[in-house]
Formats: sequence, structure tokens, C-alpha cells
Amino acid sequence: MNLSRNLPQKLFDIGNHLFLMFLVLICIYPFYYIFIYSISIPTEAAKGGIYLVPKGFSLSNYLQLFKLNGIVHAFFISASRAVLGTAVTLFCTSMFAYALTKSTLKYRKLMYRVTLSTMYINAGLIPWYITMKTLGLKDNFLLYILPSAIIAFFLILIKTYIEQLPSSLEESAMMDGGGVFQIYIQIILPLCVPVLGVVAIFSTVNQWNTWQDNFFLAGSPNLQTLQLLLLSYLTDQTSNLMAIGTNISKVTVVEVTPSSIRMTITMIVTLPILFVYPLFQRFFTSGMLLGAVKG
Amino acid sequence: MAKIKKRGWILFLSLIVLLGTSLASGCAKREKKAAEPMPTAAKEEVKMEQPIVLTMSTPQFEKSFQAGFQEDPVMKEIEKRLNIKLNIIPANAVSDINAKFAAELASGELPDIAWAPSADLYNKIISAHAAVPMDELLEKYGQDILKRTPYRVEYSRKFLGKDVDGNSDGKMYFLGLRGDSEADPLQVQVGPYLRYDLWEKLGFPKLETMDDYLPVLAEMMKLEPKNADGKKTYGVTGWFGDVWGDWAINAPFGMFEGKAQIGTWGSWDMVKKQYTSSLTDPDSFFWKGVAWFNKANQMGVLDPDSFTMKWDNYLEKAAANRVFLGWAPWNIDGGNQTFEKNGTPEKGFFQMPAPNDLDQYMVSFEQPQGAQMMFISKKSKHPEKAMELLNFLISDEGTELILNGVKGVHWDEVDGKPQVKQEVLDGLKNDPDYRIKSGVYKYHNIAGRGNSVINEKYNTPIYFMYLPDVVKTRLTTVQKAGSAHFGEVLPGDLYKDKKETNFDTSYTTGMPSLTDGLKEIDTKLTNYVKTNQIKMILIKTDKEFEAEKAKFIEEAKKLGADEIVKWHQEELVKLKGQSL
Repeated sequence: MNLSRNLPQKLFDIGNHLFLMFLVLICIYPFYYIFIYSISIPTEAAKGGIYLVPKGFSLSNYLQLFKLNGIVHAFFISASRAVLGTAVTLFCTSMFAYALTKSTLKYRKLMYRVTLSTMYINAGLIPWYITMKTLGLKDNFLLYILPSAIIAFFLILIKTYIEQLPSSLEESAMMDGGGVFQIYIQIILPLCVPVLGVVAIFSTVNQWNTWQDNFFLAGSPNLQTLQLLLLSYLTDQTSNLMAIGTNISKVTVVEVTPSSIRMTITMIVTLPILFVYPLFQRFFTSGMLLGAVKG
Repeated sequence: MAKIKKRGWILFLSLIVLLGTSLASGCAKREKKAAEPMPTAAKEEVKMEQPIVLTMSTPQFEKSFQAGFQEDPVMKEIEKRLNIKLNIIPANAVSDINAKFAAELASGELPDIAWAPSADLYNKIISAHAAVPMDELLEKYGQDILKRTPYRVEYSRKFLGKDVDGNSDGKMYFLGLRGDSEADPLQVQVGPYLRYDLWEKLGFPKLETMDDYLPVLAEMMKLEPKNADGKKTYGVTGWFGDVWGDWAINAPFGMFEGKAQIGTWGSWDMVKKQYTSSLTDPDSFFWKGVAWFNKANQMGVLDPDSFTMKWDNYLEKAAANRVFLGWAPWNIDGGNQTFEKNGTPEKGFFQMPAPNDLDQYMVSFEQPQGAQMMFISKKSKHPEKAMELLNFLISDEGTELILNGVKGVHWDEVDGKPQVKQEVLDGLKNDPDYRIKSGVYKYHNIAGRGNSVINEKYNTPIYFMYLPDVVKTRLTTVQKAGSAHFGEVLPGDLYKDKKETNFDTSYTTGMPSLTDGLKEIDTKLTNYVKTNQIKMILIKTDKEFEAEKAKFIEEAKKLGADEIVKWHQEELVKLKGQSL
């Protein structure tokens, strides 16, 4: 086989590399810009002109946010819901998906279709609010965990994945005396790791970013999530700037600006997810493809 | 080996789920325990010693804080005086507070005292039978309300007690807190705020109308073409890229003439009490605003970034002092602060005289009916205590406490007059969290009355920052220089000769909602105006502007602008007979 390349191929390679590098750059640069803006001196950054390097160096944005009352607790709540919520979603959705693949399960098609209908039908805020309240989830940490125990989209991914596993595996396990639950735990789950990895990423990101349930149903400061706390702080900063002139609080020290706070918040809320991503990344492509084949 | 690994993995997963469930239920139990009410028998036993716990939802405050029991001196004073421990739940405007309230109402989850976030919800609250009639409670526990705000009681009975079908039993269900007037004697809420130091350098050129400002702004751009950081400056800029970006085009030009904008299509004259069309009348304040910005653009005085900038960008540009004219203190104070911070307090913005010689100018908004509507929930176990609290908030003593802090701690009575302690003035000036820590002005939106109301005991404004001596201490170097130039003590004094300065918002209360047909017209007009008014500003010549203006007016007429105004005029005539 002749591996030498002719000129057009080389040119194509160079062009291809340049194009891909450009794509990488336009993906990374906005994040880089947010980072250098967040570590610039806020008042200097507000004057514009930041492109490649920060304008001065200041951690005042970060310090201001870390000084926020209750931020450590809020971080703990958000992290807890991300970890626990994801674990519960993985366990419950995969078990349900496995059960749905069993032809001996009565009404399985109906159950599957009803679950899928939740992707398209939304009853609205008030029924949701009343349901959650009736279930005792108002001002309760389980509000962050239980409603997402079964997610229809994840169900499709996992069910389709399980369906393409060779049925002989299960049959031989049965012949060895394995029960359904045992087969699910010892055979199916370990084989589903790629698709569970994908679902874990989706679920963690969802859990980490969600704050609406907190806003509507969990008023207690003990249950405040990081996202809602930071969003409230951002709104506060903007309205404070508007209020400065109208009243007595002519506080002359304005250390941060709404934009600098917005950039810093973006960094703070994105970083943990960025750290989680590489852990699951190896499952990502294969998991998505495998799940999608029959989806 | 592989089997052991698998088992370990399964064990780990089960452990996480188990841990999660137990932690979650632990959290839930703790939460539940904190929220559980005390058993009734036990409550009666300790009634004398234990304060009554009331929950109250409120509007958002200028400086937000976490919901729950507050520990500042002001809240302690309320507890001491009324034996009430208040669990306060401030609204959080990060999302739809009306939707949240509607869900709470539907599920019957209301606090003892609830704040109704919008007027659309009043009749729903009545129809849901969620509010306690206040009439009997008023007689027993609401004497200050009856004595100090009888108008609010009558207003509430007449206009706020209707259910969704428009029926009313004539009882009082809502009490308005705040409201009245909040006009700061220091300076008007909206006016031309100009870079005074540059105006002085130019030799105080004549500025009697808004058109006079344009050449002066152009001169200022020549005088200071770049700011301290070498960035280009502009006469005026805008935030047209934001959803409320047309505020600067409409609101100031209306207020200069004592008129308010109604929807996107109407003008309300606060003196003549008349609706007119702002879109189809070529001399309306709407057209004056659009024409002024168009001229500014033609002359190169308007920042070209105005068309894309959002409010945040505007604030940052103003704080960088790249603009010479603003419309309100909250437009330009960032710039003033930058000058102070840079050690150049002689530079800055000053509130100029009214840009016309009319007798009317909208200096203040009057809301005698109150602004924040509160009601006592039918589920409250202590409606009488709730009424006691509302009564206290309306009383002079209550409003005084909420706005100024605790007597003897934050202010003293000296020679029969209130005097704010210097440490409070310093704290408010230097510490961004002073309000939260001290409680001073922390709960301003649940003070019963507006800042300008006269305190009967001292015969002074109830908000002590409006006391003449305190106002003078708030004057900046530029404000002192400007006031002296005009021979006044305060910039706000420049408007003292205007005969009509008060916009009474209660006058049009009771106007029915738009019919479905009119709502459609309203939506179409709004879309048309929002899209086209900015295009009008970009037109290059006066001739073309006039031609496009004629087309715009014609189109607005076609969309029903006159029809919607006529409906308002007719409804207002019908309403006149019912006014209080």
C-alpha cells in the first residue's frame, strides 16, 4: 500500500487541519473570553477592549461571590442533587427500561407509551405545583430527586440499548439459576455502562443547571440551589446600580459590574460540569450511537 | 476477580442510592420539623411569653436578602412592640412571580399576610375566597388605617373587591402599603441631567428647549472628544437593543409636559385628565422624542451603538463617562461615582431646569391608594395579629421605623425634631450591606406610607433622608455649584415654580380591561411601533423624516390607534360618575 501522499492530498490535509483548528478556536474562545473577563479588574473590563489578555488582574468578582451568604450550603445542595439525582435517575430509569424489554410484563407497551407522552404533553405550572405539594415534595429535598427518577428520553436510550444485547446472555444466566433482578444487576447493568455514561452526563448537567423547581417550590434558604442564589445576586446587582442614585445609599465603592458578575457566575457554574465531562467522555460517542441505532 | 469488581460496583451504586434516600429524607424531616406549627394547647399555655409567628410574602426589596426570620434591630423592635415574630418571604424577581403566586393561590398555600404581585390577580383572589374581609378587624385593630388612610379603605372597598364576574360585596379585602409620593426634594426623578462642568466651560449656553441641547452636546463632544481612558465620547446614548429601550424616547419627553404614556399608543395629560393619541397626533410627546433622537443622530451626537446596546451596556458606558446627557439619576450616577473615585468631584452631572416653560411637569407620582396590595389569608390562624401588624406598618410610628430604623439606635429626637445619627449616614454611604445589617430601609416596600408623607408628630417628611438638613448633606460638589449658579439651595428647587407637578395615578382606576378586539389592536400597534420607531431615528434627512412620519401615522391609524384611544375616552367619561 502506498502511503505517500500527493500535493492535493497534503493541501487538503493542511486545509482540513486549519479548518478544524478554526472550529476549535471558535468553540474555545468565548469560554476563554469569559474567563479573562472574570479575572480582569471589573471597572477596567467595563471599558471594553478585552481580546486576548485580561485587563489587569483582580479576583474581586470571585471574592464578592464567595462572600455571599449561604453560598457554600447552596453549592452543597446543588452538588448533592446532581450526584444523588443522577444516581436515582440511572437506577430507576434503567430498571424500568429493562422491565419494559420483558415480553412477559403485562401492559408494557401502554406503560412505555404513557411514559413517552410526557415528552410531548405538559400540564402546565399549576397542576405540576399542586401535584408536587400533594406528594409532600414542597420544601423538601426529595423535590430535586424523585420527579426525575424516570425520564422518558433516557428511557428510550437505555431500552433501545438493552434490546440490542444478545438474548443468549440472559438465557444462559437463567439456566444457571439467576433471577430477573439478579440478571438485571449482574448482567444487564454492567453491559449498559456506555449508555449509562451518556445518561449520567445529561442528567448531571440538567440537575446542576436546574433552579425552577427551587424557585417555585422550595422557599427555604436551606434548600436553595447555587444557580438560584447566583441568579438572584445577578438581578440584585443590576437593580442596585439602578437604585444607587435614587436613595441615600450612595455607596461609592462599586467593585463589580453586572457584566463582570455575569462572567464570573458563568465560570463558577460551568467549571464543575467541565470536570465531570472527561470522566464520562469515553462513553459518550459510543453510547449515543449505540442507543440511537434503533431509537 | 472480575466478579468481585462487578459486585463492588453494584455495592457502590446501591450505597449511593441508599445514602441519597436517607440524606434526602433526613433533610425533609428537618425541614418539616422547622415548619411544623406548635400544638394549639401548648400554644395557649405560652401565649403570653411566646411571640406569635406570622408569615408574610412581600415585594422585592432594593437589596435582597434570604427569606426567613430576620435578626436586625428593626425586626427585633417589631417583635418587641407587637409580640410578632415575622417570617418574611421577599419576592424573587428572577422568574415569573405572578405564575408562582397563581400556583400558590390554586394550591391554597398562602402566608398569613400575602402580597398580590399584580392587579390582574385581585379578582382571582376574591373568587378563590382566599382573603379575609378586613372590615370588622379594622374596627378593632386598624384604627391607624382608618384615621391616616381612609381613602385607601374606601378605594379598596370600591375597586378592589370584585370577583372575576365583576360582582362585589362592598367589603375590604386588600390594603395598599407604600404608595403616596416618593418625590426626593434633592432632584426630580426625570429631567435633563447634563455634564455641568462642560456646560460651564462652554460659558453656560442657552438651554431652554430640548432642541437647544443638541448643538451644546455637539460642542461638548469637541471639548472632550475622549474620556479619561481615551475612548470616544457621545452627546447622548441609548439602550434601544433592550426590551424597554424606547423608555428614553417616550417617558422623559412625556414627563417634561406632564403627560404619561399609556400602552404604546396613548398619552395621558395629568392636569386635563385627558387621553389623546400619541401615535397619530403629529405634535405628541412621542413624536417630539422620536424627532429629537433623529436630529441627534443626524448631527452625530447620538452614539451609534445605541441601537444595539442593552441596559447593562448603557450603564457601563455611562459609568465610563462616555456620555454627556442622561434622563434620570439612575441613568448617570455611575458616571458621577467614577468622577468622585478618580478624585475629580468637580466634574459630573447636574439636573437642569425643565426644558420648557409650561406650568405642568411630572415631578412625582402620587398613589394615594397605596402601591403594594396586601391581604390576610383565610388560612391564617391569627388574622387579628395580621391586622395589628398592617395597622402598625401604616401608622407614622411603623413607617418611621421601617424607613429610618429604631429611635435611640439609628436616630434621636433632638429639640422635638428627628436627627439621624452620623454613624448611620456613614454606614449607608460606605457599607453596601449596611441596610441588611441595620434594618434601616431594608424593608422599604412594606412601609405603610410613601417617603414624602408628613409625619404628624414632627411635621417633617416621614423619611428622614428628606429632612432639609440631611438633604443638604447629600449635595455633591457639582450639585452645590449648579444650585448656586441658578440661585437655589437644591437642584430640585428649580421646579418649585411649576404649578402642577403631581401625577395622581388613582384617577383612572376602575377602567375596565381592554376587550379582545382592542387587545388585538394593542398587540399589533405595539409590534409596529417597536419595530419602526427606531428606524425613524435612523432616517438621514428632515424631508425624508417628515414623509416617513406621515406614512407611520397613516399605518397607525389603519391598525386602529384612534379606535383604542376613543374607547379609553368614552370609558373615562363613564367612570367619572363613580370616582371617589
